[in-house]
Amino acid sequence: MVNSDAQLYTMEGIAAGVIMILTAYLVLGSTSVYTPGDTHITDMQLEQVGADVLKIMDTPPDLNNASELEKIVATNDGARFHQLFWETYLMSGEIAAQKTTRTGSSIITNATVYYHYTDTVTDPLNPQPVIQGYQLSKPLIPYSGSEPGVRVTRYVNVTARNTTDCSSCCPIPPCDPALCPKMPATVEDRPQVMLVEVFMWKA
Amino acid sequence: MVPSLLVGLQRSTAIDYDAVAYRTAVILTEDPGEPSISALPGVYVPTDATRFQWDSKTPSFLKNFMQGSSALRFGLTVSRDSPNILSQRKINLFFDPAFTAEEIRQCLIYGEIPYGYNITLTRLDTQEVFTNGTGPYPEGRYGYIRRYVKIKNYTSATVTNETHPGFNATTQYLTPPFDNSQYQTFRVALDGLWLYWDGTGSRKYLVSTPYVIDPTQDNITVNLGLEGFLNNSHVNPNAFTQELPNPKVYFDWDAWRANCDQPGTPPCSVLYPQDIPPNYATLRSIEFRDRSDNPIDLITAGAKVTVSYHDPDTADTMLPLTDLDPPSPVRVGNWINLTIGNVPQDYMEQNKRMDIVYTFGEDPVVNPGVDPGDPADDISLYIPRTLISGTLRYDYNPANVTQPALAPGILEVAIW
Repeated sequence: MVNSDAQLYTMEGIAAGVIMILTAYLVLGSTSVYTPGDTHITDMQLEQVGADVLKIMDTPPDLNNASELEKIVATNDGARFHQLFWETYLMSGEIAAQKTTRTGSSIITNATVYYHYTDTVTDPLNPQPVIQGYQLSKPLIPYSGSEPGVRVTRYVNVTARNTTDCSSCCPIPPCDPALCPKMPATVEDRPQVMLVEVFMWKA
Repeated sequence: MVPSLLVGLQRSTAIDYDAVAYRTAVILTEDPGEPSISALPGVYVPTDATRFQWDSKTPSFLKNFMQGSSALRFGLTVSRDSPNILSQRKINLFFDPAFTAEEIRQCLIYGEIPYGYNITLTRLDTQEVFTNGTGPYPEGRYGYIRRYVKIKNYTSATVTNETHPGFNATTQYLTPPFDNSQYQTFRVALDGLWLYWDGTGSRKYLVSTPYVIDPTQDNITVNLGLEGFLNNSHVNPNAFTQELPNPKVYFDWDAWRANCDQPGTPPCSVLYPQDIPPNYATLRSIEFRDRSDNPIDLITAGAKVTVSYHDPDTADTMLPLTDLDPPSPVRVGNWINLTIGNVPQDYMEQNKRMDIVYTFGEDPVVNPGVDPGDPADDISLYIPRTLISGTLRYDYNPANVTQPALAPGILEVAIW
């Protein structure tokens, strides 16, 4: 009883083996797949840069001084904020390495400060905690709503409002504290943590 | 047919250089590197062949170390808990040209692909630039990231008669009982109890790593200006035209007399009315002593100590330490600049104290034969030639020590 049935099974077996080997080869050979670059990378870079700048602005230079960011928030000095954040750090043109277009000259920033206070005016018998915000630094060009933007935040520890040190807003002494920008009246004069939010986009 | 199909698959993979650059920058700015000791400042941790701070070693040691099975990683932060705050010593070592591109790839960039790279750190306050790379940025595609950092500065103390008049002991030497001791000492005290704990004295918390003055990690510099601290050891270079070719040559009184009365300078009789030769103040030794005043051999213990002797009229010279034989003459206008680094934890931790002791004397020695109680003796004979005395606390007082301020900087990484 000899026929070709077994031959068919053998070929099927070989075909199955080839498919298995091919599959294994494909699986093993495709392990060197790298994360493809995509458009989010530049957003990530900008976000990283913004977070870094806020972090080092909020790092006191030594044990005897408050951080730059704390001084700026305590005196509500938006001009100084823009000068440091945008000009000194973000757009620093003094980079020694090759010029790059990654952080071009077209990044716009808008900084807002959020804080917490107790509202005793609206309903004096029942004071309510309120979260309030004010603009620390205005953007040069208003946000149109369509540009891709990123948002970075930092909680800043502020020990007192309207500090008498107004050297940052008045470079030539004697300084008149009255000329310094003030925080809104609702900011309570106590040590508190305030949220600085910076929105950055490419115009 | 099948192999060509797979080749097509391979070709479609692309390297995300931005991701590699990001990873590299994260290691540099958020990691203290490996090996490192994660301990609070001033807490003693025994070190051995595999457990040490990588930046406490020399490039040649690290090159051997990375050839073995041990892991070496170039992270630059001062500690695990202080991202974006970089150590000056780690920066200096990482940007040392001794390391080859292959070693940088092995210990920082990783991966099997031999990436080209360019790492640049720019200090924004001094515009100082550190670069490490296989070349300039390429024309084509490359990955890039920029990180903002703070760089911890070394500290230094500068002592002059103007800044620290309290160390001028003229009154002490002129008030009975007269102290006409042959040697005068000045100390700079580094005490773990002041350095690692809160400087206000409450001692409730440790000074955090980014702000601590830690001689085991950071260089300590003492600049001692002798102007004003010397008495009658003055050699006016304008009046005294004879060269002092060698510090071993002592002052030649006759030669000085012959050149003393020069036009435009005060006459000899005004400078030295008693006609007494102005013998030299000399630096006898610079030593290190512990809390019990026992000498410490810092150099044998592995510390890096350099002393330079700055004379306004000659080039700087490096001084040997401890016994200076013969003693080195010092004079008005001289600076003695001392820098210590890599102090072993055996000598500097929370409970340890180390004093830098400068001993001055004079040459020739005239004091022993003088009786301070005898009014017939000229008073200038029993006033020592060096008037500096006392102990400087090296601590968080800005009047004593330039504090370890954090300077902003930008780290850029490009990978291709």
